[in-house]
Amino acid sequence: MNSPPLYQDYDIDGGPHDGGFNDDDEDDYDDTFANDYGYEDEDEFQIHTSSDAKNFERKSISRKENSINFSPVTNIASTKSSVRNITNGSGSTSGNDKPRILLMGLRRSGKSSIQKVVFQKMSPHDTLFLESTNKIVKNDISNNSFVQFQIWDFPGQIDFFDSTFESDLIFGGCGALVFVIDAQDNCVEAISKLHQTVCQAYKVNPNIIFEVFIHKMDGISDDLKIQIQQDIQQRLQEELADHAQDNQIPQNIPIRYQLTSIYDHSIFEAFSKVIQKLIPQLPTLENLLDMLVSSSRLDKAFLFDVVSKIYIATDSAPVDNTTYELCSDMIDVVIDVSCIYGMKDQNDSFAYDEDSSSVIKLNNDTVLYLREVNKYLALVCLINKSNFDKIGLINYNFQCFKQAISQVFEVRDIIQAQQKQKKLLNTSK
Amino acid sequence: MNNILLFAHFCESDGPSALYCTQSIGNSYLNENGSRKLDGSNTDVSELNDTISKLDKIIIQNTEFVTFDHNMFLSSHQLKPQYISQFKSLSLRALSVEYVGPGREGPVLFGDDNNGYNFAYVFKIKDSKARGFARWFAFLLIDPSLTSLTMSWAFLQKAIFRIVKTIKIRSQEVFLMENSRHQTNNLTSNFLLHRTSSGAAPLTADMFRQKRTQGPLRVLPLLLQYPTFFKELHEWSTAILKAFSEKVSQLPTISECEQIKTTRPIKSLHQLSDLFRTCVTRSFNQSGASPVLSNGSNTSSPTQTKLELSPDTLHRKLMHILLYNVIVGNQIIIRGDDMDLCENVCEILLNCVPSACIRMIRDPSEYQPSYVANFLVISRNVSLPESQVDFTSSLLLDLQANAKGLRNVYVRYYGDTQTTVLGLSLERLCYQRYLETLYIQNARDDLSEEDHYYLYYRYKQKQEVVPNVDLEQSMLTCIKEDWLSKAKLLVKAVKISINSSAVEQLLKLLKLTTRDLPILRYWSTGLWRKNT
Repeated sequence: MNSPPLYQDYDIDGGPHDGGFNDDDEDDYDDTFANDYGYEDEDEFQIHTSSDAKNFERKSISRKENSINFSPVTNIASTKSSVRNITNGSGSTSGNDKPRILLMGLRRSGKSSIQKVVFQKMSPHDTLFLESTNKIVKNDISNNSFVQFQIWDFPGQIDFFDSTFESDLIFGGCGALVFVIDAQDNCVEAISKLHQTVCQAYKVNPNIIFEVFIHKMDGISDDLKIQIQQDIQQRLQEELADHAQDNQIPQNIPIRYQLTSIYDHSIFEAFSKVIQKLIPQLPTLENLLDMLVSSSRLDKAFLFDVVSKIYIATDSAPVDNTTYELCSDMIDVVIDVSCIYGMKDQNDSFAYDEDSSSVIKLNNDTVLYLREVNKYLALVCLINKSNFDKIGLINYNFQCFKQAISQVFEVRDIIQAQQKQKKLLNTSK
Repeated sequence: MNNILLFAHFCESDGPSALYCTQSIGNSYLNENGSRKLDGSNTDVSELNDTISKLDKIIIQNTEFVTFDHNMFLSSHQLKPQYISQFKSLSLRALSVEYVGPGREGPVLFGDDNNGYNFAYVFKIKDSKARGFARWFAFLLIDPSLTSLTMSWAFLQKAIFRIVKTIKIRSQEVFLMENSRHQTNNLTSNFLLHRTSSGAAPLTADMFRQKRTQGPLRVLPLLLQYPTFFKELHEWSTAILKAFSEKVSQLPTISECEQIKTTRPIKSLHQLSDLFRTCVTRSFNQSGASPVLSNGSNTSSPTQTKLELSPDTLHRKLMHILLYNVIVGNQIIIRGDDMDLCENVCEILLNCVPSACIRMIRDPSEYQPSYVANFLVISRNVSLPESQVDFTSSLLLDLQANAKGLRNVYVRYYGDTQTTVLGLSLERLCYQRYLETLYIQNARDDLSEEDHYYLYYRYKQKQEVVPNVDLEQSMLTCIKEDWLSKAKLLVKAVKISINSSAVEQLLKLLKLTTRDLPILRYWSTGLWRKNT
């Protein structure tokens, strides 16, 4: 896959890896400007562009090959990227194969806030103080071998379908495109932009999954919510139908709409659904969960990614918002309590380990049960109190489930290794 | 010169775009295009705009500020329509694409041979009404040549940083002022107040809409409370463009570079000695024994010839003769192909004697006798008639240079040389760095001079000795002061007694010999002249 140079320094669990830049060049006075409210942890990402005023000639050029950084600090960056160029060129990095989730939408629609709240655990209230994004901000999420992807947060002001950008490189390897619409704003402009985005992205990559987040739903009454969603849905369908002929794209591109807000769990749930589509093992996981639910007489079971609180799979029973919220909150409770009482060693331990488990009995005759599956995953189930008497059976079933999950991982690893070998063979030939 | 300094910003609604542009246009271009009347004397702005609208190379329209110099500098907010999109994409690349170090602020260079190169300096300033209280700006200098940009990288970085610093400090002051004012006024719409007083109170939908419907962000003069901001910016930009174009025009051509290489300035005795040594060694290796020294009295002696077979001995002898002649006040005639080099060598030698003793003539049309000039820098076409020049009291230093630098050194001197105390200390300066190290390493004084120099050459073969110019300068000054005071004492001694007893006593006291007497006499001539 031909992918642009990436700066993959940010992991959701690890924070910046190469955070050791010394800002020695700057004078002391710069410290006075350091009290930003912006969060500058991520790395900027470069798009391949050509833009030059001297010859005024538009030509697609690869940015990295043509730019030279001279300052000592930027030299580090260019070296890093050149190293990545090499590795990317051989196609041997798994990071290259990670699916991409693009966050697009008009300015101020809440893209950066979503990214910060879901993946960087920023408090929703603090997102008010975010700077406007002026570059594509790339965030590498690799919590576990199931949830591995990159999030690209786009600045809303820039038209990335312009000929100065190589849309193949942006949309080519992309798994899902999340278009964020501000529900509190006039959505006419947003819909025309969405339409344009869908058409262009579909042309480049027909396999792309389109998701529309109708965002900032907090403070809007339920009736209005449905009305807004219908309105947007209808308008987009009309636009797509009107221009389907001109754009040579099918009328019925599947687009999923979700109502979201960063102030509640809706954004996590919406993101869960986006990410689930990017997990090839999802049917297997769902089957396993179904079996567990039926054999242990559970009401509902979620397989959670602990760090992001996104559920990567659930059983086939319909998901109820409140159930999801309860289970999601339970993870927070477990981690919080574990931080206070459950640390074995003060220094190097993580609040979530193989001994983590929790039972919370609610007053409505239901029990919340949490078990650790692996370092990153947790199984959270909702059980009726009457069915919770045979805890041994549930634990036994859970062990089987855990084993099965690890087997899925193994198979996945084997397949990946085989693919790598094949690639190596191909390149050596 | 045709350079453009662009001031770009990240517009909250439209993304990156050009904000202000200063262009420098060479007068030759204007003259070619029949715009002679643009000379700054009494040009009307509207008239000017009419003229420049017809000129293709000028990218701006509706000029706001003009400065006339050798070039014309025009500034405006508006670009000609055909250039707008190009400059927008240029701003986009600088502000939204290029990777600019940590903190996302700083200089960056990008571009390619086809489209030209750009130096960009990206920075952000505080604005209490902007999202995240930050607004992004960039300065962009556009030039077709990578070399000129890289050569002036340090200059551009420094110069633009100075402007950026001014703007940032200003914005910071205004930002703090506005915040404190908001806090005292207890305005509910203040975000900061919300944050500090009521913790993390969510913004209501109304407030959101209110903020959204706000008009465009404040323009810079208003934001910085700096009404003449763009006028100042024009002046800053003009200064930068002017300095940049001067720098670029000063860049040497390839042939000039070679020239520079050959005439790399010599800064110290040490360097002079090293230069001579390489020459002597080279010519020695090429022709076996080279006639570096033409010393009438000594050449016949077979032992002397044998000794001179070593280039190191030759070099030492050369330095010894040269320095001896300098300090006793014999006439030094420096002749060579490269006059700059000759003058450079002369300067180094002048440094060894008190300034009052110097009578130097540069590049005379004919030979000047020693009572007129004791230092003479002459070109090769000036003849040195044997009848006029007495080589027993004059020394000819012939520097044979070609395009690649000094090739050979030739010294003609028929007089005698003496080993003097001052001569020795100056000779040691030629090897000072080595001697320093050696003294530290060995901490012994029983090494003879001969041992020193032998060890020096061995040492030199092993590693490159870095000369310490400053140290040498100060040592030289000390030596000169010391000997000037000695010369003063001599003068006093001569005044006291008519016979030579007092002088002899003085020499004994100063641990000098009669060989040093000519030096003291010569140096005292400087004193006399100083007094009169």
